[in-house]
Amino acid sequence: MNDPQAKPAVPTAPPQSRIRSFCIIAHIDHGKSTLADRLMEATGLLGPRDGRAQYLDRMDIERERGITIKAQSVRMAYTAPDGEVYELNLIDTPGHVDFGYEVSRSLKACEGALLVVDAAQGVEAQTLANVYMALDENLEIIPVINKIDLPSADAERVRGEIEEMVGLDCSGAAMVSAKTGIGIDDLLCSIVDRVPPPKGDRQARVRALIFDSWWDSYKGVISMVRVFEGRLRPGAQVRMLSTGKVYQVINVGVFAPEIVELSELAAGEVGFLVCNVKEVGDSKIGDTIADAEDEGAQALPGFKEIQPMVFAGVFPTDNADYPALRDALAKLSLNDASFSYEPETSMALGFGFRLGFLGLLHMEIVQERLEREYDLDLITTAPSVKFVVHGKDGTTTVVDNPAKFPDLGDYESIEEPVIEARIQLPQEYVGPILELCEQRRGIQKDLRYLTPTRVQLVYELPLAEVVFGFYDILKSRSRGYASIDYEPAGHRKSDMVRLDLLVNGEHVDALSLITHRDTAYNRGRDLCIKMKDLVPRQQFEVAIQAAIGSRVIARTTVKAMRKDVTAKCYGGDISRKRKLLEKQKKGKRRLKAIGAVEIPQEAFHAVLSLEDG
Amino acid sequence: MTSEGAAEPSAGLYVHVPFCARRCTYCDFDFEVGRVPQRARYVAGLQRELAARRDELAQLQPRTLYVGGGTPSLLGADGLAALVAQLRDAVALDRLREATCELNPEHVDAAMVAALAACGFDRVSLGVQSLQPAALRQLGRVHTPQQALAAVRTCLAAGLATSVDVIVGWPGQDAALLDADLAPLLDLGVAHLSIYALTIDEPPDRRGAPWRTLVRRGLRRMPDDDVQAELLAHTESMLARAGLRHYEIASYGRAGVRARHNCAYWTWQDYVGLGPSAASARYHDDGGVRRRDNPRTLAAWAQGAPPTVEDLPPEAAAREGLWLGLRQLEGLDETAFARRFGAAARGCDAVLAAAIARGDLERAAGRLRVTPTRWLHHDAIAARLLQG
Ligand SMILES: Nc1nc2c(ncn2[C@@H]2O[C@H](COP(=O)(O)OP(=O)(O)OP(=O)(O)O)[C@@H](O)[C@H]2O)c(=O)[nH]1
Ligand code: SF4
Ligand SMILES: [Mg+2]
Repeated sequence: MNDPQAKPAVPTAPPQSRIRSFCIIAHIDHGKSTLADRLMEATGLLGPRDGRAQYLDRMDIERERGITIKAQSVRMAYTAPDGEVYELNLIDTPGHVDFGYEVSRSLKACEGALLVVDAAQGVEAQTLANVYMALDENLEIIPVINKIDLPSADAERVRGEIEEMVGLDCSGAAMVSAKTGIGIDDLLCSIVDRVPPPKGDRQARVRALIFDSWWDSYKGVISMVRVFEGRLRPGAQVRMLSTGKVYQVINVGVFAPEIVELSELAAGEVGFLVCNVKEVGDSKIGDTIADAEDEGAQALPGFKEIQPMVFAGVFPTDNADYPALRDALAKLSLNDASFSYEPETSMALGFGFRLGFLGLLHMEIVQERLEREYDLDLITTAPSVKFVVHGKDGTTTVVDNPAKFPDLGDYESIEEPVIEARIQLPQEYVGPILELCEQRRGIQKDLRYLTPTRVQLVYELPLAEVVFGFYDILKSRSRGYASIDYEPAGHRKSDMVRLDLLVNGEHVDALSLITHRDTAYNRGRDLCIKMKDLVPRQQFEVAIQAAIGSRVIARTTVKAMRKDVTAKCYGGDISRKRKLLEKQKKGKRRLKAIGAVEIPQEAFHAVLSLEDG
Repeated sequence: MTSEGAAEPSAGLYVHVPFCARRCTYCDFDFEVGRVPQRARYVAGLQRELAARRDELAQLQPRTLYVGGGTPSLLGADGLAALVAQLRDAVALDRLREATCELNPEHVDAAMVAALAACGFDRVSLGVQSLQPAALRQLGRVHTPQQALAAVRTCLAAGLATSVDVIVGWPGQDAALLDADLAPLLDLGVAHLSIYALTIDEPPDRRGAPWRTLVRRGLRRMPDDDVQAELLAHTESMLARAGLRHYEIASYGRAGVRARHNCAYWTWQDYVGLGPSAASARYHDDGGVRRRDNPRTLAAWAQGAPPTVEDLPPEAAAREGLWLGLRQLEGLDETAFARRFGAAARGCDAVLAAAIARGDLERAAGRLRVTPTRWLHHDAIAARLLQG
């Protein structure tokens, strides 16, 4: 641990003229978290000994994957050239599209935003998506051209892109390298000069907005708040406006960069709050906290509730772990309120849950956290979206599970969710990407040159088509240069059918998927071919069939395994070989026995990696 | 015929010689490549181990001795004689019924063979592997086919029981090429063969075989399991026609010809291993077993680093015993199994019943064996027995 004495004192409720609150927004990987490191260093919050890069990426998964998943706030003290000490509240946000809601909430706590753009990559889809959100919130935006140390950096071109594509004046853009620290001092000066100080009457009764909440094993429920009026102090009685319930404030404080308790949070400040609430649900994101005695308190504008977009079944590989999975989900949902879950039963996989996620990365992360933090071994089924089924009897049902999708002919019509996608790309890749969007049943809405060399495509695409491997193909067909951002755009009528898979003649409900009738045949064939490589060879031959209704449309065979024997095994090897054999069980993590056939996790996700046929 | 095992309890003594002139491409053994000056260190290390295990060795009356490696013949005739003399000082070697030395063909000549016989060896195991120049090159062996055949002749002529190691399933081998490896050996009168499929292990905790690197560079292919399965089946029928019994997964012998030392492993006998990476096993009266693995590297072993010791309780030892015993194709002797593991043997009844119901195992004449058509799935069967 660092010597706290060596760090500057954490500013507490200075006059509002000396407070600046801003978030860092960008496309994924453009260097937000690294920039946050440099800002924390320049203000003395991190010392050279705090060495880990992207300090604010606190979770193991974030560190391993090198991406930010959760927004993080820190408070710094900055002595400006005018000699005054300013309180800077910084919020680092994630860049991945799945976590866009983290950005939108963080914006509500700020007056300014640093728009980071990679000097080699230029403006990408999330750059635009995030900047539009920031403009909607009326934030002062400071363009920051980062990574100018890279040999491939072209700051002038990127400056031009920002001016043309985003419409921001770039004469005051900061030129920095978050890696080497060039330009950081100037950037701090512009933050003080350009980000407006907060407003809000500190004498008024308290009102604060909760923009994040999570469960902490030491403190219980911690909520991040932005105080808009009055002061929040430990001991005060506060009311959550959505429920009307009254709680006592236990403590308040900030992260600097670790938790520091303070005597108060005043209007214009950002910090954490711990009340005597028991559950995260009692300290809801988007809720307003008001003085308990202020009967007429008005709620602050909150957030749109986020809705899961993709759904998948999650099952323990060992049925006996069902209660453990249920407990783990309850605990994890305290920490990540953005996924939904409800019980599900599968003929093939037994008892489990159907989870709703914001996207595929979110799904991967939830599965990984469940397995790691709760020591579970899980199978997740291929993700699906929510279909609206209009029955012949005039009823309407919503189906998010292919296994529950009605049989062919048992419905009047189907509506599927669509999204509006904005795809940014260099013009030389327009051809192949248009082709991809057409194959994926897209409807073109717009094709525009943002600059002479960069194009923006706007397409209405079925969400299901985007979920199934779209992103990887987009990247590979554009050599990594295309980026995509999307938002829900309602439903449209489509001719969807359920494609079933049979393993050794047995219908495996958890492998069913819903696909458009026109692509069903190809999908079925490709899936059978793929499954052949994914289902491990057994002692006997295994038939894999794809069927629509009772009609088999494709078939492959997994040949029987011919040999599984350790050649030589003499005295010296016995312990080691025995352990290897015993470990075969451990090595069988994420395998589920369907009848006599063991099916690995990858097979359930085979459909995600199908190329277009 | 010496599947005596339980009838006449015996102990084996294994001595590991950790030197090779160079590393074969498929090998992930621990040894020191070509560093002759290390020999003094080895001799000193062995002396240290003999002294440290004095009491244990004093009680031991080994019936079999096996000097393996590595490449023991790299020590030369004098070196091997010195090694045996060193052993004789610490262990009673007068009740040996079999004493085997592993030899590389390029080291075999009349003088070497005579010296071996003089210091008490009556059996040799020759690392021939193949008679095809292309295969020997792939495998990184230094000898030629002519040297291999000459070595076999020399050993047989000296009256030594001679076992030959052959590798099956190298990329490019087909049934005809396999016959071309086996037939000349049978013609010379070889009565014992150790046949194993080329396997490139991936040891998790240390450097693997060079083969993997060569594959990465596009210079080798991984062996193909299906082809190997075919060739192993072909070997079995070809050798059966020639009168060699397939008595253990990797071992074939004419009537009465067996590797006694190795049989001790399948019949749950005690053995003591000396030298780096050598293993020892000692069964207790209750059926439990203590396994002891010496440090792997010459350096660690010579400095007296402690062995890894694992005590398997009777239940686990019995499961392990099933796996080992079932490597014998004629099966394990159920009476001997019950005697060795006592109550824990009865604890296996349920898994055995399930394995029989599945068709993995069958009973025949007091023995329990892997169903003859399933020996190529021995690992899968064993894994289920070990886990069940
Ligand atoms: N050369 C160079 N590399 C940089 C610079 N800034 C960041 N990087 C590297 O860019 C990669 C991404 O940096 P992060 O700070 O994790 O990016 P991010 O924007 O926070 O990413 P997400 O939170 O996942 O959206 C890392 O490998 C950084 O080391 C820079 O100024 N120069
Ligand atoms: S296979 Fe045998 S001879 Fe070849 S390197 Fe390995 S131990 Fe030495
Ligand atoms: Mg980040």
